[in-house]
Amino acid sequence: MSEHTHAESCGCCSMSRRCFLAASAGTLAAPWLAVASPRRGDQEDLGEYIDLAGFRPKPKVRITSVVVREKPPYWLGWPGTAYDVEGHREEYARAFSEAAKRVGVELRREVPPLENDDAVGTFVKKLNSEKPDALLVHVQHLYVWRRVDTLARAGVPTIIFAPIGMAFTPHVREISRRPGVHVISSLETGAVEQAFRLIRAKHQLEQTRLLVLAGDQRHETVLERLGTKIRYIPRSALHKLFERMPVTDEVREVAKKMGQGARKIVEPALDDLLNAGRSYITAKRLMRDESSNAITSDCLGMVSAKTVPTPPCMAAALFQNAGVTYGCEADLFAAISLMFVSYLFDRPGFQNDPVPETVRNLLIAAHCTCGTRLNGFDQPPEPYILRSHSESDLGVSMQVLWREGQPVTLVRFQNPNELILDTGTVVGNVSTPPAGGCRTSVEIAMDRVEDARDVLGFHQAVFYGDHRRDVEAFCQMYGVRVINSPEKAPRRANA
Amino acid sequence: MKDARHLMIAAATLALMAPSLAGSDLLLSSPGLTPSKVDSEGVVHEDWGTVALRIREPAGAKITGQRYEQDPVPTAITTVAVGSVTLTQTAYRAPVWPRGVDVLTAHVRNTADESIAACLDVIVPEQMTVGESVGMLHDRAVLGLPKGATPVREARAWGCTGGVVPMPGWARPKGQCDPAFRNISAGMGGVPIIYRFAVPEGSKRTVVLGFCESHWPSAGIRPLEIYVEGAAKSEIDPIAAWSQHRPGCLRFDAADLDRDGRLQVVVAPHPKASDRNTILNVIWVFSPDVYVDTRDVLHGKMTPQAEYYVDVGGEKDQLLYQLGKLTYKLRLDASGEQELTFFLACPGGSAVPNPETTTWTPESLRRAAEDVRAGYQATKPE
Repeated sequence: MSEHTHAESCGCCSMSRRCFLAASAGTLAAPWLAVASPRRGDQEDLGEYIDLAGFRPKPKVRITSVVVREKPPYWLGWPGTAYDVEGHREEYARAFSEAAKRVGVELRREVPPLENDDAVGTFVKKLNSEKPDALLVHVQHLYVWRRVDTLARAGVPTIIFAPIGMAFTPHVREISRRPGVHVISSLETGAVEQAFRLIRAKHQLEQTRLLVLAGDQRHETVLERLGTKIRYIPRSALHKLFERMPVTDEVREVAKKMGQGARKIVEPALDDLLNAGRSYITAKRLMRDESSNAITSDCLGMVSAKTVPTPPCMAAALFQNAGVTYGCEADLFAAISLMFVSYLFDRPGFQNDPVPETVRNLLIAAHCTCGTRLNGFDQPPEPYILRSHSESDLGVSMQVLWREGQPVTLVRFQNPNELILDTGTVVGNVSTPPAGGCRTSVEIAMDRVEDARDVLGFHQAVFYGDHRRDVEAFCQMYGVRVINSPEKAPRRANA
Repeated sequence: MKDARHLMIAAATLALMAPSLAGSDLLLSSPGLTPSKVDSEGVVHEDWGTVALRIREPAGAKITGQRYEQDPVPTAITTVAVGSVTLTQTAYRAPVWPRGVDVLTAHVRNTADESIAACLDVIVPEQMTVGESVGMLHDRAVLGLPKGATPVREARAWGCTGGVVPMPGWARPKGQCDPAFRNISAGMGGVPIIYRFAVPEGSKRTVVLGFCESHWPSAGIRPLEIYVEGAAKSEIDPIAAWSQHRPGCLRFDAADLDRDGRLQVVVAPHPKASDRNTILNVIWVFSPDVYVDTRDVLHGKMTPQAEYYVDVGGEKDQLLYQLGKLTYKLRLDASGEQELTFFLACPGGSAVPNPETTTWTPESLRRAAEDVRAGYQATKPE
């Protein structure tokens, strides 16, 4: 099937975008029902609307904030006599409070500031009895790092915010690399917001039950360190429910919106879009029935066995855009990596197959589904083209056009205790054809990796932004070991 | 309804795997996982063998009761008593990824007003090689020992402290070299390879370690950290140093620094290694008065002069500890108590987490079991 641009009616293919939009207005319901062939008796029940956003865990996260300083007024010693101690204390307290609201964590402010060792000792006792999920320490004097150290050793994950003027490099050199601690020596209060997200993300991972549709057995286990529950159910559950799933108003609406939002629709026909919509509500229904928060399925196995008329690619993109992980190919740690990106950065990751481009020394990240809200869940989406799933030429798949020049981060959990971390920059998008492979195909020039062939991992989650240090901060806080791809290409050793 | 289904699955599975099940056996399971059982003597039966806890001292311990708690997770509780000492043994299935682990806890209590010594034997299959934290059977880690408690065992003159997998014939060394370069032991998942050698207290030795990397072609993937007692900590990347399939030797001036009469050799993963599986091919230990030329050592010419020669992962390699039961000597204060938690691999091929490195704790394991069961009960039936 040749590629068409459907900004205008072309009259040469089975469905133009204009035709589709007109059809979606209501005249086409009957043919879709024939395509969908649901079991009538279940229609009402199965058509029930389920809020997708409701699957994203919203843990109650309690963070206590405290100021540590010398007793003012200050005379010499940084930040200096000219520093507005109280003014900045209030200013930062407001910023922290607003950041906590945005992230959705509860911030309890400890007043008054801790200005001597006794006060720190008393506070540590209180901390041990209250056991908040994290402690935010706002440093307001250069001479208080010993007290900060005492707080950081209290056994509570600790974020230390030291605005410029409160630390020299020797003060932070050791403590900033200590497990369970995250030091921000900066005027950037946005880093505190990200630190709150870091704490929240850990709790979201703990509260997540990931549904894995693969094999023919049911069982459930829990991941070490991350605490995520993994529930396996037979793969057949998905296609059996899909077969019964009717074309509902929601299905039509989803199909319509996806069609309207596309820059182009190339291969998919109306039936494909409606089936993709059914796949979307099928996944929601399964997740609700299984009390789950995220999903990954043996989609390729289902396509190979021809048990479904469409892979779940479009549904997965919609899930990803809403902050709910939908991973591909029942790859457990790929799904965990997507979840990690979603919870830690409030944006979707892109699970991909890593492809070498040896002429230009690039990594091509390719797969047939990708969220469009790469800039963030509440930010404008990137453009996309609706395609078929490339390997099978079935259904609806996403070709998302990534922004050239955009820094990106790649992460991949190898197991609950190790994560591969790399960064790069988007330099282009690859079209299929002329290329084969997957529909979304992004060219990345790697940082710190001399030869793109050496990039470690498979099904890495790629996402917008150079977040190397933010990922490292999470891993340091919770004891995950970070692995980077080799910086140097292998040299031929002397025989 | 779900519970009934799980019990039916459990019963069916057990009928297949253990035809000798008695009516009083108690099942350890978690939704969807193949169960294990605890018999009326408190013995835990796994697909690889059995584990029993027995109080040897004071003598004359007898089982005083056994019960099965269904909620919040199925737990088999067996109580044993002798004099003022009681042993409460609990066993349940913790559904840790990927296939679960059985958690066996010995809670030993002294009810008397004076302190008392007690010996707790852990009876495991005879063929099990038990290292310092993990017991292995047929290259599978099936027993995790309690963290922070050391069992009393008879040690050999030399040997590996365990937890590693012998892989004879793994390496393909190029060029003339000692035949032991063909074999390795691997510490899968970052387990350090540790050997100890009996030497006169405080004495010095020359230690040579032989490596041959035959998996990775590129440097930087499996660098190793080496600590030979008495020598400075060092690093080696066999590919960078010698290339793939090329054997190489490192020489160390070793000394029994802690004067325990044992020389320790440790090969651990480098913090920057992306492959954390440690490897080691050969160890030679020479008396300090022997002149050691590492080229001759590599070619096997000095092997006859070695005080100890270890073909790591080869036929004559051995564990430091004798096979057989483990004994924990406990000193219980007046009204005192002590708790030991063991991990047992459960049916389905899983290995136990290494107690030395895992983040699982008795508390988090219990919570995981309760969460999973509660989640299953809350889920609507199909």
